[in-house]
Amino acid sequence: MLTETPFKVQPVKMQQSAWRFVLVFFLGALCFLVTQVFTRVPLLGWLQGEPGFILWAMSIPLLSGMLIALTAGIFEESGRFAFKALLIKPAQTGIWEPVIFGLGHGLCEAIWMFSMVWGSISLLQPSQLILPLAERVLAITMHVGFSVMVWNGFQLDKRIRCLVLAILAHGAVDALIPLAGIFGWGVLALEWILAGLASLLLIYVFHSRKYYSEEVSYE
Amino acid sequence: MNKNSLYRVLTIILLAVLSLGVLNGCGAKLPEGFEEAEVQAAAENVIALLNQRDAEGLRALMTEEMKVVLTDDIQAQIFTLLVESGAFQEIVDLQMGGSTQNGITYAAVAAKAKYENREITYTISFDQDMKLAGLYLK
Repeated sequence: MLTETPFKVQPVKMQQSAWRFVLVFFLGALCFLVTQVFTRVPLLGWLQGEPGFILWAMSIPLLSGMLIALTAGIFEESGRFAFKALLIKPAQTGIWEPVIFGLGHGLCEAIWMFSMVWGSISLLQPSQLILPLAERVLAITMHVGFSVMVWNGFQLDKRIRCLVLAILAHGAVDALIPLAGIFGWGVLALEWILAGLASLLLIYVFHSRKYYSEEVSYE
Repeated sequence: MNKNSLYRVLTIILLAVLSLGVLNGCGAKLPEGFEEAEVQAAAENVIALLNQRDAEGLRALMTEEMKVVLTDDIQAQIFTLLVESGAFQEIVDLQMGGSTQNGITYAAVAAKAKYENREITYTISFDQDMKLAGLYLK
């Protein structure tokens, strides 16, 4: 059982050179590639060609859609956790670190998604691009929020609790897509719900600033 | 990161992979009112018609909704894909289940077929009158 421990903000002098920002940004992008492009996406692609999986998904479309959505949370949040634990030291850091990591993760996903549909998207009018671009901005905002959620676990020494929270939150957001399909929500309605959730995550990020090192100078 | 935490994370990742594998094995059963042999024969017939590029034969099996959706243009795209796939060899896996959409129950067949150049998984649905109500290729 995890116990509540009072957190003390330790003022530390941080050396935030440009290379560290760049490194964390690219690690965020690499995390997306490892957890989605190189693992989950091929795995789901293989499953979608398997008769047993297809029939199972067809027989219980809502539950299967929600479970598949949850796997996005499991893969991506576990990936964020592993990258932070194994590659990004020290454990205690400034709020900029999860924000930059989330931006790297989210922007890499945006580039990857647009590259997948580039042939058809280049045929759209500029006004028709507003909705997909807005959707990506919301997704990037959420990736920043989920990164902060995972990083909060390291700041507060409640790593597993925050990881599980991030997995469930990510799974819940992705589960809106099958829910929208089954309940017949329109694209705009879904975008508004996502905008609301992205706003909540943004508030969560601002609220979380108190858990991070204050960047003060002793000069 | 201590060893216990690392093991917990690895366990979560392992469970994710295993759960996807388990989901794969959870096939469904045919809904009531459908005969297994009849559904299997109907699905094999659809695949045979596709392999023969028999658009008219296929159209004769379709529900009215499918006739609207599966236009000549889409059928031409399917036939092009099948030409690129090479000669049909065999159906390597065929399973049957059911689905319900808008209160209507369908028999669903997922069949993995081996072609000279690739494997294609067909998902074929039939309504209660055994009319072709859905066709998806991957």
